[in-house]
Amino acid sequence: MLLFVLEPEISATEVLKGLGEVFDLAPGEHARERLTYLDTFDWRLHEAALTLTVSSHGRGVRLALLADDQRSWEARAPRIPHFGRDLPSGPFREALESVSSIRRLLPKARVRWDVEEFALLNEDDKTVVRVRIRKGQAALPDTRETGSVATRLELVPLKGYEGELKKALSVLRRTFQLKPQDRRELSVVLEALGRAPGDYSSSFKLDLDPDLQSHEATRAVHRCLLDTMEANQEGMIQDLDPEFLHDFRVAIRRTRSALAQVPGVFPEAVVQHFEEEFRWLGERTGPTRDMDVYLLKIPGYRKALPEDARDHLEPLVRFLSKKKRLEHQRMVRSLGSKRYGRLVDEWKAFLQSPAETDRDSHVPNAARPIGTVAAERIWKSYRKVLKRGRKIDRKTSPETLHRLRIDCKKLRYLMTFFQSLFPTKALKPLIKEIKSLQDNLGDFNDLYVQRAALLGFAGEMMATEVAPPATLMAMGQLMGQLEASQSVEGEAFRARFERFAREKNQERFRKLFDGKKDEAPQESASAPAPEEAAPRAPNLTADAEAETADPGRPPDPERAEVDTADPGRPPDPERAEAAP
Amino acid sequence: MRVLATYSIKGGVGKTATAVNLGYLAAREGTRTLVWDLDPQGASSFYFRIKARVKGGGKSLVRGDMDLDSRIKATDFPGLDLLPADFSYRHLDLELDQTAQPVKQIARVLRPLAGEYELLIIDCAPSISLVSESVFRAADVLLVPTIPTHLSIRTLLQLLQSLGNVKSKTLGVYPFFCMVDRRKALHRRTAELAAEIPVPFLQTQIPYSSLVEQMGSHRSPLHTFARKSAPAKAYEALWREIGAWIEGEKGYYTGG
Repeated sequence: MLLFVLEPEISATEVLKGLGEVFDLAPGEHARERLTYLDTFDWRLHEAALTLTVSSHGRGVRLALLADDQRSWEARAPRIPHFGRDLPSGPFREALESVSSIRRLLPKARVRWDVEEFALLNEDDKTVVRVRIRKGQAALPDTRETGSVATRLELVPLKGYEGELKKALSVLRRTFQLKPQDRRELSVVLEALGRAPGDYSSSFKLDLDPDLQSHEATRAVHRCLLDTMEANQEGMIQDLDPEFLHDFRVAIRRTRSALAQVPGVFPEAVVQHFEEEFRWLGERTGPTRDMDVYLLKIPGYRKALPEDARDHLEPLVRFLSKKKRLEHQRMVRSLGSKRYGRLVDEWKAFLQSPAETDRDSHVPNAARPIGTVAAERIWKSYRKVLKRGRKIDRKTSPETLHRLRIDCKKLRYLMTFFQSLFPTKALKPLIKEIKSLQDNLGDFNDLYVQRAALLGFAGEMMATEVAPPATLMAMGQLMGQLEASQSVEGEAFRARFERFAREKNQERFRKLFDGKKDEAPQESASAPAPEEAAPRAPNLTADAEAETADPGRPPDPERAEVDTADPGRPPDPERAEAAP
Repeated sequence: MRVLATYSIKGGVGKTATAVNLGYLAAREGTRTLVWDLDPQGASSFYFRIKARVKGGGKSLVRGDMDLDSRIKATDFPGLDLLPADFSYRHLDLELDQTAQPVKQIARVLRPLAGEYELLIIDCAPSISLVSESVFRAADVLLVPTIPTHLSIRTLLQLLQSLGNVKSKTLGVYPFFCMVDRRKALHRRTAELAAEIPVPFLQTQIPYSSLVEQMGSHRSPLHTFARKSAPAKAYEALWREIGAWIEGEKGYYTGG
């Protein structure tokens, strides 16, 4: 099908008249359809070149999934599905769920289409080209705001009549200067509403100028992260899907990391205050996330058990769901609190405040160019990872491995914040290396934490008498399996680390980040950093995270999202973001 | 791709109407369908308003040295395409004879279409020839419209005898009565006539109707202008009987 978008000054009638001078024109069907366009919050379908529409059909709905390469799927359902998994299995669900995964399908726009069909005929009154004129009134799902979609003219070619199609195309080109366009329907629809698809993505994207003063650049990073938090707030309060809360929490952690890892750009009092407040926010949102994580793991747990033991997990599912509801209510109350409102207002005000406020305080890095400061910080963070990693052997405790993982994460955050300052080609493989190491450590830690968490759940379930023996035994079986996998991951670590620490990589890091020895160093960036075991303000960043390695405490929310329940796509945006 | 041929030794028995209407009904249900108008008279092509002309003629088709797909035309109905007739098809026997294995040749040239269509309906010319023999080899099903007369029954017997010589174990032969006129005594005794044939008739009978003849003036399948007529209903019933086979659900007599 060839698509033409008619500018307001060209009317469809005129174009039809023009075609009518060359062909006989026969009117065909005149149809109206109401379509709702669905996508996930982060536009996964759009990113995957898919368009999902839903229209009412009898008592239910008709779903149509269309790929840019013209493949299409159709399905009927009693109501609009919330998730891909709500549909019966089959090719439609497979095509949809492999992309939408655990994210909720949300209405992005509604359109009332008015479609008039015409046939271009030859001398035998045979149809040689079909013409459709589509006019649409679009509306955003939750507002009364409407807009007229630019009128579309579609030419549908018929096999064996290519000559006639060419003739029609030449009329459109010569008489009306119309050329076929290659744009997705939803893009055109959203344009009518002043929107564009892809207005949210969970990956961090920010273009920085290396000459920008560091306090300005860091403010920009924080603004970006705050935008992400605000974008996800509503969805996480409504609990539309677990990714809203997850993205929100990732932004909190990144904010805390940026506060601590780029020192000397904001006044110390400011850093301390907001660090405290964001830590509080992290704690208030953590328990709900923990429950989300374990609920997401359930399908994987079921698969790991023998078939006849799988249903024994149902009491655990009920226990977790109930706990999740309670924790979510508690979290929503926190988000409605004065403290949270004040945090957002003050933080916004600070990020928008002019640079002058920083001048009086002790902020040695504030005015230095971010290109220099970022390289320094990344170089330092990298050497810290190397140092701790080298000390690790078979006897190393899980807690130490966990600390190494946190160091890796800080390094990766820094590289992510400032990726635009370094050549992509050089940076990308390094981020990939660190991601691979982090994944391994994460898997190890995750298995350790999961075992502890299952034990904790079992205790709670027994105390409240909701645990049949079969359920406890199934959970015990799972713990055994987790332990076995853990030792496999532990074995793999050495090899991964050797790879990461190899000379070639060290050289790459040095080249990118260690070019600043000639400048006056702030802190001891060029020294071998003997104090690394006790980094600056360690209690600000590492505490909450390090604690999570303690048995009996809920699982590590940062890592656990790589659940086996979701084979289609790892839901963890941190991991997916390595390719900027 | 299932291959169905409408075939009769006699002409004027409703062979083309069957091919055109079944093709229309199959496509309407979403089956990707191609009709090959193999009759040099080009009646199917005429019904679809498509010129009975193929670039390079029957010779290029049969030799298999060209892209068959490029000769196909879309009809006015979604999912239904036509490979038109060409007057040169009258020499098709001669052309086939010059190929290495004439009897297998049609099956061979059709092979590339298998991925694109689910159903191919071949509208054959009324004669027994090398072409029809080659079609029998390519087809899964032979649909034989038969007028309820003694003469037609005799011709059908001749066909079955000659099919005995075609080495195909999979070809199913399905005769059905058409142009049935309840005013004629003989037409009311189709069961007796059918008993003379060693192959079961399909249950559907197509009644005699001037509407079927009007397809020629409308140049269109019956359903586009007489959707609710008796013959239209009969073709739907015929498609249901045959369509069940297309889905592979029904095992009819197969043999030769």
